[in-house]
Amino acid sequence: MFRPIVFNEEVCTGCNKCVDVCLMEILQPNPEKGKPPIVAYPDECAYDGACWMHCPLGEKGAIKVVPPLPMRVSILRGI
Amino acid sequence: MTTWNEYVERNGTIPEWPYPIHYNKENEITTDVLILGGGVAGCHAAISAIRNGVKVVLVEAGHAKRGGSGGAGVDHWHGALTNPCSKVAPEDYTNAIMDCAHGYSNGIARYIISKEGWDTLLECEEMGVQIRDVKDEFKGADFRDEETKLMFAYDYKSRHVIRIWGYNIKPCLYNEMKRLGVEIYNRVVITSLLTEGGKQGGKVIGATGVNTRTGEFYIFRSKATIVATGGASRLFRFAPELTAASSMYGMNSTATGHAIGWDAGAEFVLMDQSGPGYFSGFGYAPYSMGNASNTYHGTPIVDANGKEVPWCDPYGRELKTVQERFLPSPGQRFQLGIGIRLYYYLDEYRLNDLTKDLPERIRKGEFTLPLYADLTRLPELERKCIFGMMVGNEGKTRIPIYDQFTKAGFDPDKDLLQTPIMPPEAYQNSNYWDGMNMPHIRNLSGGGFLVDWKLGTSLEGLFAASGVSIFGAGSHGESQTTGRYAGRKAAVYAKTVPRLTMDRRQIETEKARTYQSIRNNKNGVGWKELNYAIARVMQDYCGKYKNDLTLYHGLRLLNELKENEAATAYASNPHELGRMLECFSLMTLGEMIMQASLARKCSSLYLDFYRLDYPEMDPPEWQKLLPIRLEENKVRVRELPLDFHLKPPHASSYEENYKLHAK
Repeated sequence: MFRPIVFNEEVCTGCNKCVDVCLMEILQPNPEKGKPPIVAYPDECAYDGACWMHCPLGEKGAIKVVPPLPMRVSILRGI
Repeated sequence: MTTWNEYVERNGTIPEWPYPIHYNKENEITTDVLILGGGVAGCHAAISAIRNGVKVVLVEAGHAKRGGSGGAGVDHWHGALTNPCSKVAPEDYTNAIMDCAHGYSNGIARYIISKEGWDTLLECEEMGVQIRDVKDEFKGADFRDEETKLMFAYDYKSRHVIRIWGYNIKPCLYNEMKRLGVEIYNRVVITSLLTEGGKQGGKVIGATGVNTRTGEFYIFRSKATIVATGGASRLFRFAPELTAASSMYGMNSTATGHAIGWDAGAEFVLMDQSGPGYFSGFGYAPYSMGNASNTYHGTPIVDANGKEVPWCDPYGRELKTVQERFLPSPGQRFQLGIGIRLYYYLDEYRLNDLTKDLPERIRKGEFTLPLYADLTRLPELERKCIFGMMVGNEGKTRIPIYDQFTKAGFDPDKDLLQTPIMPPEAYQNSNYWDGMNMPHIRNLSGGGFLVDWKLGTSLEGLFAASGVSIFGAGSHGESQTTGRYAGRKAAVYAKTVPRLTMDRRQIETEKARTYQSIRNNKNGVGWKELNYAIARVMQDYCGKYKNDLTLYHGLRLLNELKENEAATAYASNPHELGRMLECFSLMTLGEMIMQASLARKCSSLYLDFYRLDYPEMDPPEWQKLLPIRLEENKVRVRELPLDFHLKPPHASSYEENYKLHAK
């Protein structure tokens, strides 16, 4: 199970700006308003970070982009 | 809470598709200029066209705000030959590229780029992109000009490549498009070009597409159309979840423009140049590991004992100082730099690099692995610029590299950054994060639409923009520059032509083709399995070494896929439908490359093209372009001299042609 995009439910307000801007169209708005989006297609994430860039609460950790573990095992494990 | 599965676990129900689905519902949009592809080329084309007083519609598969390979950012701009600090003239630059490529590049596009690259960048500045060191963060650096505050990359003497803060370049283009009133259709995958009378080879009068959220059908009617759909990062492999595979290029990109252009009868060149295996995808995410190339050009590399690997000039002379790494050597006029889609450099124009015999010296035990990038050995301003400004602005590096490394405690003033550990021969190329180049995992390379001096394709009404849609053109800066040029040319053309009626039969045929996988049985293969099967065929039958038989088998297999698994493949929602249609484009693209490969009966160093049945390397009689196209669905090949663009009916010099056609 790959988790390229991790939301912090405490911080995310479900504004869905990330859903709007995702290039690969992998995010979908949660049926429950105010909840973080659903990562419908985690295997298609391009790791570009557009979702984080346009998240109004990105700095507060509402959304995190996590590169696959094989990509960071050598130098950057715990992020 | 993250994935679909977690939602189901928590709620006990599957989430419904969040958008209303209306397959087959038609939306008809009429415009003067239609732009296919919302990457940097398409967006700049849209801005340029609308400023020329026409109605503009832009269609993008993802979202135009961050779409395309250049959407996440860019750290340096090629083609700024006319900037006030540049010591290189456009014609010299163009000739240098054509010499390096041995003629296998696009003189027309390269000259246009070198004449207008700086002006295009200035327009980006007007749109809010920072292109100079306005905050004086790098005052006094040898790569910075005091007066203009421009900062340069690669060759600090010749000063024709500019370092820019391109993190927000795409949103700036997007906002300008909205401000000017460009009509933007996001989440629409283009499926075909519409032609006069529905004929192959006819004038292009529009396009069709499908929305990947609602499944609705779009019919675009236009007077002029610009293809700016970019490259194809999913042709030879696709596994981002394992390796961020090929994430350097836009992963939405499946060269749809090439495929629909081919089906419509447009002419293509250099499709046989399927490119060496850069960005094979089985290395590391771009710039995430220590390396000494491109953004990291000039970076000191040390071994496990701190012994530094020497830098040399292209003639093999060891450089004594760090400064020298960024200067041309005696015998060089100027250095071209990396990132212009040029695969072969003459020593005269090549960058300085780590010593070429590094692999041998590792084997002999002189250098002990692991190697490290040691930025601490750079002058402070260069270090700050590389890991700071550059990595903070280049595409797909701000978040996964700059931000995350910094949060994890990486301090370039103190720490070393390990390079990947690879077989010694893999250290031949200083782009270490890319991993070992695999000969069978290639790229759509210099091949694209054949264009004239108006960037018009062989089909009337169809123009091309971007470093990849046009053959042999370049990367980011070049995409924007050709976009801007094609935009104004398309606008001028659109004002002179009448609007033609669509062929209803062509639309109906296209609709049926588009929705096939929605109607198929659920047991059909999914798009991803199909994508990987296509990649498998390309790796095996269109790898580095080819012969007539392997290419025929490859074509047979692609055709069998088309008629069997692809014909019965299943898409369960509009998103999967869009991806499936992208796979259909990939099959066509594979076919184009194989057909072009069959046509060239020789091997070529400059095209990285090797025929086991025709091993002779670049024999004089084969040094030419081989434009290919479909005519009545049969492949037609003809010949063009490498310098066709300077021969009748064109004028005999670059400047003459430019003066005749540019304005």
